[in-house]
Amino acid sequence: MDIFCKDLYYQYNKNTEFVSYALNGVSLTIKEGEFFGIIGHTGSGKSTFIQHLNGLIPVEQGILTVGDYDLSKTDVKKSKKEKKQLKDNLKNLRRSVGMVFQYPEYQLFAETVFDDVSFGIKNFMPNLSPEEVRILTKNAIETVGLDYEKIKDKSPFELSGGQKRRVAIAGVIASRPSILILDEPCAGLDPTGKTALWNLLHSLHERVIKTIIVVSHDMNDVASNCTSVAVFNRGKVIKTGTPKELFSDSAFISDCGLEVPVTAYLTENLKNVGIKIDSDYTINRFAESFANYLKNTEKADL
Amino acid sequence: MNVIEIKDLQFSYDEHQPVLKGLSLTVKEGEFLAVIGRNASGKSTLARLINGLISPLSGEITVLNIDARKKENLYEIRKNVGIVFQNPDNQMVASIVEDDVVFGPENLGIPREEIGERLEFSLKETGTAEFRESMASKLSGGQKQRVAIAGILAIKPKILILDESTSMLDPRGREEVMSVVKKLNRKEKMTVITITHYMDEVVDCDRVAVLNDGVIVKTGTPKEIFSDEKLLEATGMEPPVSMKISLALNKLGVNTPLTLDKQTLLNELLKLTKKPE
Repeated sequence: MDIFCKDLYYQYNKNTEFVSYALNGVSLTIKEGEFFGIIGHTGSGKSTFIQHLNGLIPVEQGILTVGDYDLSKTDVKKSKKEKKQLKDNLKNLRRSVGMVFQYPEYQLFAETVFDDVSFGIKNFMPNLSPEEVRILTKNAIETVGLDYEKIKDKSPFELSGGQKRRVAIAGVIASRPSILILDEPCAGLDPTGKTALWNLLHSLHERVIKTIIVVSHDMNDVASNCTSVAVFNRGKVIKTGTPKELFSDSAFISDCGLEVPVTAYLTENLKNVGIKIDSDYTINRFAESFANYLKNTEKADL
Repeated sequence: MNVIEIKDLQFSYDEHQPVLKGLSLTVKEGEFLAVIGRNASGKSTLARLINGLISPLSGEITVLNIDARKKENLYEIRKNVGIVFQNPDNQMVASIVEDDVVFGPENLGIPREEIGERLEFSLKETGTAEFRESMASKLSGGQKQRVAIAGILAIKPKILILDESTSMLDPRGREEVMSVVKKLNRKEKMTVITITHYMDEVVDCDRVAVLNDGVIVKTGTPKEIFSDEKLLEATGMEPPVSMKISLALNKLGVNTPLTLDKQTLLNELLKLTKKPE
């Protein structure tokens, strides 16, 4: 499922004196199969935008399609039947586009991990037998790297922060969405938990989820993990490209209220004194490229 | 002088799961101390014990030479230890910034003129004067956290504790808050304890304490802590990004010292590329 949107506008506090444009003409295409990063400072419209993608915020103005679902605003009056059809479509869309909010562990509510993870499946697919629900739930819990037998009967509230977040993600991926959207998935996690979560997202991306979209404030993480990135600023997408394309322009990134990753900072400053280090800004590639540079200049000197 | 002395502290929320298992730590006056450790290693519990929000099962804890275990001392301790919590929305008590800042001193029964002085001082120090009459709910996360710090400053505490106060902020908000805190530490000699998962925030601290499984396993300068690979692995910590890069270079046979920040790393790389004369 590709995501396509053009000239998307959205206002908060509409028709009051506090009106503000959260989206100010967003145009963006996200292709199936990407590990897509969304960056931008607080208030740039990132969260408002992603909430459009599964219909949590209805489109006010502009075009938005997610796969075959057309979420664009139409002025045509709908019959009762069409309205019902639309509602069913929306339910299917929400099954296909899984959303993990910031601090998703605050949304855990059930008495056991099993009940929490299976809640979505039961609602999206009411015709499944208990055995089928069990299998999907078990699958989801194991996919996020937790021991099903050990954890299924525990209260979600007894778990550690990292485990809780995994349970929350399991609940979203259990109904097998093809697009998974995560808003700041690593906020508040310790370094090991953070690394483990990125690894989990990559393994999901390889095995079960076609497209992953991550909103992140950590440019080092974005440079190391994403295939494409969109920069939000004042309710607009002002640039898209690979991390390498975006982060090689540090003046632009800084204008957006962001900071380039350390690897990009080093590359730019080395380039300013005539040293060309070519890499995709991941730590390992940067190190390799720099080591090669040293080797080559040594050879040249001999 | 030590402003905090903790010896053999034990604490648990329920009897089967001890959180702190004999923790000892001293904090010097005017120090900038970072406490790092895994999720659920007991960091926030430690912060709450220091200002008496909870009390220990056993062990000793004195804050400014006052016994923090005794109920009658709590009022005095809380006047001197301010905590800024993680979520800025959870610590605003009034809707207007100014009202929020004076809430503390008003409750302490400070005379009116002095409250005015403290308000001006706190707004100025935290750079929040420009939105003193704004609705707190209209501010950004970084601005809200600075207002929270202003509210604490108005009580004139000797010790400021940041309990993951920057984790919900974007990079710019985080920088705003940390620069205010660093200034207070340097200029006002305020003792600061920061609990954080951002290793880049730890780099500028005087000293780092690593909390693991309910005890402090090591304290040292940021350099000492982040150079100890075994310790980092055992406690689930990672070095800051700049150090990760120098480690990756070392592995490839590039001989560069381990650096904590990007400027130093850049200088080291430039040295390597200069041809010997």
